[in-house]
Amino acid sequence: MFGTGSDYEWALELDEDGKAAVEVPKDSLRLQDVFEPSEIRDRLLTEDDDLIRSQDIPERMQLLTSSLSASATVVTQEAFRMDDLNDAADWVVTRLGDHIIKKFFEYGAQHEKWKSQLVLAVRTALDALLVQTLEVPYIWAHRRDQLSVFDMPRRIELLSNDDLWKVYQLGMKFRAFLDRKRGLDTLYERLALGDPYFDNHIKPALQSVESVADATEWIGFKYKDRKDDSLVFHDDIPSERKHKAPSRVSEYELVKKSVVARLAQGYGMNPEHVVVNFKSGTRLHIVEDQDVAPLDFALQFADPASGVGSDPKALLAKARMLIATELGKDPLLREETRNQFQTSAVLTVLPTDKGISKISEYHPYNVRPACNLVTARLTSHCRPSSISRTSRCQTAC
Amino acid sequence: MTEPQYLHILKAESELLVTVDIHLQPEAIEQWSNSFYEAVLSEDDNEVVRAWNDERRLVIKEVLETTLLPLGAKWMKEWAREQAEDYLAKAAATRLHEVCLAPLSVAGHQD
Repeated sequence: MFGTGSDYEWALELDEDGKAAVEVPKDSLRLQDVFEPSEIRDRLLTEDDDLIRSQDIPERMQLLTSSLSASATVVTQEAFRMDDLNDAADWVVTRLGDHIIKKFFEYGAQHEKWKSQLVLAVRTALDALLVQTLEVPYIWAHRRDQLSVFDMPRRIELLSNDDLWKVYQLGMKFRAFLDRKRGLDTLYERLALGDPYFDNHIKPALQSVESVADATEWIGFKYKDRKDDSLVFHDDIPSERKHKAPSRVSEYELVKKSVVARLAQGYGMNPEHVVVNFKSGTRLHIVEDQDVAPLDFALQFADPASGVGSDPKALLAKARMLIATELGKDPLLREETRNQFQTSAVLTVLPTDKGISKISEYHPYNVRPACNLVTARLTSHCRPSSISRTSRCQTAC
Repeated sequence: MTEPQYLHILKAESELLVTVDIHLQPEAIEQWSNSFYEAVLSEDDNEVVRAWNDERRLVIKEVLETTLLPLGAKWMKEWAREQAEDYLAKAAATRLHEVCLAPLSVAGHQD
């Protein structure tokens, strides 16, 4: 009834040998060889996940965005140094929102005398969040005294819970900004540029991730040739070589190398001087004028053999393109553009033909009623500046 | 308009139901370009200088139209989206906080 007792003999034999029957060498078989990438991702077994597991920091602090989103990226955990904290505190405190500015920094503000304590509190908060990697609720529950100032017998709260969350968010942003700024500094030093315009005007204005990206692009644009040279001499950065620069030469580069570049100089518009004049609102750099009219001036450069053509009007158009391209790359102008849009941008929404037929009154995307608000100024507590929105409809309005 | 409506607008755009255009008001552009002209135009007044100044105006116009304005619009769109998303996340967090702290509610029970 119970058999001969030899059904599981094979298992007993193995025990005696002391080793498993099928032993797969660890190196030869990886998860990736067996399972679908999506399966691995679902079970949090990718290399990124291993990286997160290996660090003794909560996962939510290691990811830039929520782990619920598909595009969550791992933060480069470069140690946040103590001496960065002061810069971070200054940077964060000015971005905390209007209510903080009103309460602490305006002339005659309610808590004006505590503003240095506020900066100190932000510094303490950043230290706890980024260096000690503590959680916002933990700080709020256990370190709140450090975020307050005691004016006996009163206790004045400098940062609210919402502010603390904002500090955390801005702190993360500052870390990304600092990371890129260091990258830019390294690039600048490696190329040994010593550009006075960069040192005096661009560098002091670097305040956001966007401006750093613009400045990097500007260096790449202005010192394109230099960049190529230095790459040859630096063998220690093979990863950068992988990105092969496009071999297609832009129209700008073609024109820049022709006589049109000299014609463009005749405009007396050095892009850097223009920007300095524009930013300062004064004429620090006087515009130099030519003795002859533009068309006559352009005629001097007309040379059918050089490949740029002989039509003076076309030459002038090329010269304009040259200056406009250079001006368009300027980081300071781009920053200014963003400020302009932040203060006076207008949003227009027009339904397409498909939209007109599809969006009914009960559709969740029903933006049609909004066309009654022809120009509705929108002020909200989450924006420093308002964006005014104009909605027009082809049908209803 | 409420904040999340902007997200709806963007969603509708991705479904090709609406077209979204972010731009500066014409007066703002004019004011802005005028301060540009201040920086580049020559103050002398004669035929030749006037002709050059017209050329310079064309340059400014070109840089605004081909580079800066499209760039600003693109950035603004993303920036506003970020703000709207943050706002929505904040609202959700507040609601969640309330739910967590609320007394137990039993289905069918009303106070």
